Amino acid sequence: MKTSRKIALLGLLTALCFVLSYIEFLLPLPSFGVPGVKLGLANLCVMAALWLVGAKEAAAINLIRIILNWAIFGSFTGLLYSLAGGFLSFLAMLLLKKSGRFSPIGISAAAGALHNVGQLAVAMLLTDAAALWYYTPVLIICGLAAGAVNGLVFSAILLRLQRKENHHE
Amino acid sequence: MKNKRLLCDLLLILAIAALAGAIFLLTRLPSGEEGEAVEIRIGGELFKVLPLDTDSSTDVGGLCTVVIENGAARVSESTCSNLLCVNHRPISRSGESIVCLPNGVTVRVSGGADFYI
Repeated sequence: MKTSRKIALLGLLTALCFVLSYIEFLLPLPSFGVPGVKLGLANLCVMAALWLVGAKEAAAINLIRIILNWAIFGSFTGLLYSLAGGFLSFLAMLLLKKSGRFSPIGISAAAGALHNVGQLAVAMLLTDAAALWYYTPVLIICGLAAGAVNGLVFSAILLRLQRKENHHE
Repeated sequence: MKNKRLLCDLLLILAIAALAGAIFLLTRLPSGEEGEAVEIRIGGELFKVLPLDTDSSTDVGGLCTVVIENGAARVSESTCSNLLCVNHRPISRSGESIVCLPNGVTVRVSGGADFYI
């Protein structure tokens, strides 16, 4: 991909990422009595960057997403949760994608689950770990389900985006 | 090729779900019994232990209020933003907990056959 095209695409994805975060902020999901349950739509943009551009660029978008969210909606502890969740889920996506064995659906599902595991780990460090274990199963399942839905959406998007990219090259 | 990937996806998802199931069994199975007390912690530090058999209302460092009535504990008020803790149902079985992440307050039932020592 040409550098100028890459820069434009990454800028677009970063902006879209932020819009998706804002939409989620406006439409909170039923929380199932546990904090931190959400769809994670913004991850669609991180995935798009990872599949279409590269790992470094996708990591950068992920980090910018987290910092922007913190600056606009969040608190400092919120930042710690996002960083832990964002880092773990990105690592999962990277490794699973590299293995070449999984489709975006499986990759995104695992990333969703690990995102919540990362957040739980921070919560366990900051508060009472024993109390948090109680929430672990439901948060893993919620992350898995949300990630699978995102993966399904992303598979559909990817088909079209790749067709478009090929058309341009 | 594509079917093989989807099979791998399915196995991956099932493995993670199984892990969640295992954690569920480990943490909730022993919690069938009614607990004896609740431990209230702020940022992991033990703040107070309250017996479940005595009705009470306790201010937790100005962050929230823990009420005990009819052998169950609940958070009646909180200064946090999302109020998940206030909306949580009352807890009484050992191992059950209410977590208020914004304030870092946890309320956990102890006693009975407690999984956590």
